[in-house]
Amino acid sequence: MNTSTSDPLLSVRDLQIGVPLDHGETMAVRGVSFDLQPGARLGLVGESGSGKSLTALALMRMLPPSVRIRAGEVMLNGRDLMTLTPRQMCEVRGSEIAMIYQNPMAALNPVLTIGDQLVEGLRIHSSMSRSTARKRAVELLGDVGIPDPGNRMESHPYQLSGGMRQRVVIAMALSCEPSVIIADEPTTALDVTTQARILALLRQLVSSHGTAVILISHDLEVAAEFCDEIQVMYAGRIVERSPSADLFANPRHPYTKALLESSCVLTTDLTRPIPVIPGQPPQPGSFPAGCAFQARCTQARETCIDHDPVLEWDHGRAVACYFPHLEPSELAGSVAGGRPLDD
Amino acid sequence: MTNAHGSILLEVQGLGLTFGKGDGSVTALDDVSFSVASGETVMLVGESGSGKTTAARVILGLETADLGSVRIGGRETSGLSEREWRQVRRSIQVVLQDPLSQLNRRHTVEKIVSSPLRAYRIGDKESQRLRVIELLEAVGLEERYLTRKPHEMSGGQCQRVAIARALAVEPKLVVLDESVSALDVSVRAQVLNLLKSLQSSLNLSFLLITHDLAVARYMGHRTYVMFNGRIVESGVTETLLANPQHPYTVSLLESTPLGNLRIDRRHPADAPVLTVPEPGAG
Repeated sequence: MNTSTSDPLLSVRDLQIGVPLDHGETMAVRGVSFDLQPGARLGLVGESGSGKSLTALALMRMLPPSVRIRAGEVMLNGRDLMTLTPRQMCEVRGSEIAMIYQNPMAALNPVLTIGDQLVEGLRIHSSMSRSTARKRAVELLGDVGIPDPGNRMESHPYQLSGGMRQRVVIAMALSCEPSVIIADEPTTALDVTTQARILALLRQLVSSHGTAVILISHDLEVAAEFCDEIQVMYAGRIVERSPSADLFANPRHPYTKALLESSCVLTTDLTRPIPVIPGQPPQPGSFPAGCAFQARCTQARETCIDHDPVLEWDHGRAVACYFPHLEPSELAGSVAGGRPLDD
Repeated sequence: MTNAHGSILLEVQGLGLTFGKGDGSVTALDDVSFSVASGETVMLVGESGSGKTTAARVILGLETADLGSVRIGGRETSGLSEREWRQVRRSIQVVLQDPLSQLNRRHTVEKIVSSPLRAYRIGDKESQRLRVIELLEAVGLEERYLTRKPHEMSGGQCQRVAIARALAVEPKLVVLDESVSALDVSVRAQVLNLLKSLQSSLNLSFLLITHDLAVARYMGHRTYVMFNGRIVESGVTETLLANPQHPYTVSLLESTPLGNLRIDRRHPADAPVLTVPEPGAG
């Protein structure tokens, strides 16, 4: 689907995830497909209920038991993760695909020292001796900027600040040199200055290891600073994918555009109310028919109520909208953009 | 006393508060002074542990400072009897960060929003109900929400309910502690706009606590930056952000997305050197 020629590292096709309702089930992720190139940094941005975290957890096969993957394929290093046995998946987790969570305290075992936790991870995925693994663990703590790493091995998670804990979690994620790291709101629980430091560290480490990252965030600005490309999710679908800079300069999907305008940032116009998107982000079970954004969209026409736009690629960008915003220069040369489907 | 906005509503002078004793003690507030005038929005900006929430707790009478004074409407609050405090508290209400946990989840919206009216015995049941409908309308919620319970609403709707409750007894000052940081981006904008319009229609004052300089810039007439229990910089928000003086303010601004764009780079030689340690680094 992408125009890129090199083989993707991770390839997700038509992922569908069902979540339980009081009666029955509803699809919370509705046909998500995307590719991730080796070493790339991809942002997955959306508001609550958009399905971004479910997508991430599905890639790790770590969804809660009540949530089911109903369809889809997730190819990583030539294998479909969805077909692996739980035991095979355990081997893949950590060594090929790892995750950094929003709350580092919940990701760490409170009764074990951070050294023991790092050593455990290293030894599960390799034949390292205990002493080699300890040496490696100290190196890893040093790499993530923890001062006096040798002594910090003996610390328990509660003895570290939030930022230091998240550094430990990053060290764990990197320890077995996975080819992909999924970072789910890794800095949301941290202070602003710590957030900037952690993202800078993560960026530096993944570049030096050539690790690909999927950064899940509700914050377009944070995602744009970290990622090469951004994928915007809405109501369980990807509605736009674009290089970060292009997304900011010229958002194509009306939702992306409205989301950018409604973000309170340091450049927001102070002389008028912030332009808002009316209503609330829809939650699974109440996704509207047709284009899920049509009820809140200023561009919506009849087509948008009756039909559901699919993600279409054009010059390295993709958008799922019948009436995307295009620059005048793009309009001149394009036949695809803005044309409603005939049926 | 007045400033550009109006008479001084809240005046905090030289607050000091230390938790614990000896080696393990933590100085939460160190000589903290600020004021809020009527119709004004004042920002307390800082990160976790900077003392901003503790300062708010002292103002609300939930914590007693070791040193300093708090005057609300010209009245010194230390030494007030419980009965006198009840009257002072009518003029100063609070909205917290977590939309859900600040609301009693077993109560309906009507009961939640009318609770201050009942506590202060304002009106009978029927007039309270009408007042709740009026308050809900002011925060952009329709009458049908009266019978909803918190878990049946979104975060943004819960936060509107909390704002409606805070406004029920017609306070002069509302303290908002990170009240928009847990909301979705598009919903946060709705609530920020709502606060601004309520301010102009009701001549409210806000003390807004946040770690987000973009929110401070949009909302705050004046801003106080807190670090390690001290106010390290203060001023008119626009001026402060255009030309931050304290290294901590600079690092906060640089850490805010798009923040690098705002810092004046014309005199790089004069730029303050960053020496702010990450908390817990040692």
